Amino acid sequence: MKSETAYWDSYRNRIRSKAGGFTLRGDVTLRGNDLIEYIESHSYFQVLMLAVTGRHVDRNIADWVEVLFSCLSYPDARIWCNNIAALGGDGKCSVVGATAAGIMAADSDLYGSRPILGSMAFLEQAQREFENGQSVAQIVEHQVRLRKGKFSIIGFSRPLATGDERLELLRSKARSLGLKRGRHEDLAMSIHEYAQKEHGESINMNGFIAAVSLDQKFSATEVYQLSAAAVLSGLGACFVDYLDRPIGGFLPLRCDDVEYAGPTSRSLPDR
Amino acid sequence: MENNSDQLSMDVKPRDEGFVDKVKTKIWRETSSDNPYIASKASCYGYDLRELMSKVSYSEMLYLMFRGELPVLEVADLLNALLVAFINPGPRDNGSRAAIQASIGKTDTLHVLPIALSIFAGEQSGATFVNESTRFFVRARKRSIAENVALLTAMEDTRPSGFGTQYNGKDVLAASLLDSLCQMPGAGDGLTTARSINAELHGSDFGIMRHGVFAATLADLGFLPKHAPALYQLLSAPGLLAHGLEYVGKPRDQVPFLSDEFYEIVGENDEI
Repeated sequence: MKSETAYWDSYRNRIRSKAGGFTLRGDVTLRGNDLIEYIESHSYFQVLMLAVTGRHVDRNIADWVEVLFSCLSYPDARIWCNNIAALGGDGKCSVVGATAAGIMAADSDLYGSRPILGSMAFLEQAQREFENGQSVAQIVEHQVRLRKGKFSIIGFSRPLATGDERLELLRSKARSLGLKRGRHEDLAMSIHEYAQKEHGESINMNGFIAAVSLDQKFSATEVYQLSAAAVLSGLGACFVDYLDRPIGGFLPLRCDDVEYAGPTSRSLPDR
Repeated sequence: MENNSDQLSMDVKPRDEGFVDKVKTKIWRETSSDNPYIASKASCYGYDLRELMSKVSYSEMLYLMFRGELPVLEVADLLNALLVAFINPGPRDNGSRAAIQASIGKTDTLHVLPIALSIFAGEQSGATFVNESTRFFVRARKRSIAENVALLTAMEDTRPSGFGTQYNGKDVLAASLLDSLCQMPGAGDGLTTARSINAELHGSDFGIMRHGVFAATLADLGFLPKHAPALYQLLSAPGLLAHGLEYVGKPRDQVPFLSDEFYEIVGENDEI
């Protein structure tokens, strides 16, 4: 039986692009806009958001996303993605290879860009439950029961430390950029207050970004895609920090600094 | 809701996560010489590296590295056949195409393999499904073929289980690789179950996929399902790289670059 392949046949040697492109006569479009003209009056983050979401956003929204990037710019070489970038600098790798490796590392369920998917999903669900009459306490305690009594709500618990030093800044930036506090942010802050009082945990940057993003009508996938390279600055800082030092200077390991826990020495069996 | 205050009380305190002092490994031991940073001897799961060099094959070494013991002959032969069968996803795989684009675009050769592996790591190759597919075959061995077929038929998306279609058709090459692997003495009930299910699906419009064959074999070899996606990358790496390296140093006109005539820019709401 012959398969129906018309869809693929229609694309052989042909690109139909919604993103845009560059004609070899010098015209360049991005999502229906003349890119050269667009650049004249828009910021890089407006270009990025137009590219990824297909929608033009006002400068204040783009500036908000820029704040998100800045808040993920910690140059601490202990943070897993930055550790990789520092190893790249220490090993004299290409900056691009080390940066790409660090970006891939931050595609993690623990930190970086991916947790936004979980925190936006949680807040959306929590909002539905809240509007259906559940209290904040009921919503939180249900999550705690799901995790066998452990408080581990994505967006409201953070690895390494409790609390989040970026929260005050994020809240004031959101207001100064004209982003009105919406129902998701209201609920998120109520969850924060309850979690702080009852469990000693608090909202983190991820949870706050999730709430604001939902109030601004962005989808979780869009925010995830927009923040793919959000850890860029920290990676660059950690890479460069070790690039000009002698090789092996980033947390040097002697042979006995790696604990061996395998079988003792043995001979190969006769075969 | 009770919180409308703009006051935010937020203390940041370190968690005591109990981090260990040292990295620990069961895999590899390095013994130092006078200089504590320089290894004079290395062993893998207790076997001296130099002895391994002269006495085991690459596939046996690979098995030792991931399973902790050397394989018996039948298992080594099955793994060897898997290494050969899956060495190349082919020049039409998106990972191979990415490798070719990198090389023809004069990207640093050191980046070719990581680029290819990143693009290979999606749904097209089945890499994103192969963890779940391996789990499926581990469990499928305990069910009857009829139960497995009923389960698959009820699924909205069978690809995570290792079955499906590509380009609206069945993967004929995958089915023949499955048949060949089933004939190996080391083939276990993961592979034979996969073949029996596929035979039962004869009249259906879907069948075993490439990653399904890989998963069924890994189930028989005893590899952990959660390791399967990365092992799928590892075993496919030589082919991906070979396609990329074939284009290193070649002039850029040796790979098609569509003229404007065939590059159509459409609107957001246009049907594609």
